[in-house]
Amino acid sequence: MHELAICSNIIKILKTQVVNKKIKKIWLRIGEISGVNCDAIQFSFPIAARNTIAENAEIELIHVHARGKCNTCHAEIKITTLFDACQYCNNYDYEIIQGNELQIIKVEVE
Amino acid sequence: MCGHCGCDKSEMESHEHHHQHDEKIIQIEQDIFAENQMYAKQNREYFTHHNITAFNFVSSPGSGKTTLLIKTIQALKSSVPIYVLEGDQQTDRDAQKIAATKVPVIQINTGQVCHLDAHHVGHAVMDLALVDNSFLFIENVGNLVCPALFDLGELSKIVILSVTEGDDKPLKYPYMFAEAALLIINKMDLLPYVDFDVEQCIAYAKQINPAIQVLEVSATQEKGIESWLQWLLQHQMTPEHVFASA
Repeated sequence: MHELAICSNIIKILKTQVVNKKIKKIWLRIGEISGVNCDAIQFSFPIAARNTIAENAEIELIHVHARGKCNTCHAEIKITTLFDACQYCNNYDYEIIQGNELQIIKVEVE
Repeated sequence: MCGHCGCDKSEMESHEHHHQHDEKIIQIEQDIFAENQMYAKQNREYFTHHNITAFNFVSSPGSGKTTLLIKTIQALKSSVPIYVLEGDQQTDRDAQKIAATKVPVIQINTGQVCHLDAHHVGHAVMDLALVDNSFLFIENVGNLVCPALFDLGELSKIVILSVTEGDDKPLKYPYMFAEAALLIINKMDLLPYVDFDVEQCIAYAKQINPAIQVLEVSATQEKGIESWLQWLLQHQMTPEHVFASA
């Protein structure tokens, strides 16, 4: 359940970026293969945010599809799991182009 | 790439591109792992500068990490300085076992946290006061999920999977196998008693990580240990690494 540690990190970052304001809403960018469970983020956040500037803040998750570049046929491919094969040549050796994101985009304050 | 706020519109499926110039919106655009990444980079620079070969041992609980470390220490400690960091939620039982081999060890108890992070490791490394040209073995919290996401500054992750756990673990916990340079299949002496297909397990691991190397070991029976020690020594940082990174 590293999502609680991730939510604590979010609070830590926000404390450095938002001064003397209460946060109403937070937008997060989450890659499809970032290894983070979105339900667990929604579950953990209120616990991490208790008695902080982000208490009761709403979380909006912006999902990023995962894509890779095949090292065999060089095609750009769609990935949904870490063990997907290239859809064109069936090889497993590819570089991930996107889908690992785990970022705070912006916040709305009161 | 949007020239106004720097966002990459193409990467998002449902990006609402309003450009809210409302002062109530504060743009942050920061990686949530940035702090851990910064500490990991500091640790890596320290290890490289001092020619310290650091490996991060990851597995589920009970795979035999501590036993493998003890056998490794017993075989190598007379030829190379070895230090150990033990990560567990509670107790110093593993550190006590390692301490019996007479190498310096620090136990990190993570409490409610399910993984070691680079900040933990940085402090413990300072406390250990490692000498140059040594090995640092970091035994992470037994957990096949969370430690995969936290770079500690190690040279490589080594994932240990015992045959009693099932050959499909790479597919079930792919992040750990995607991150590791080496897979050690442990408890091979128990293979006749369990339903574990070694070839299938390796095929699954290579599906996730085609470059992963594999060794078959029985730490308790000391089978396959020679190949493992050879792998370790082959991957030991040499002064050339230090020059290359200078």
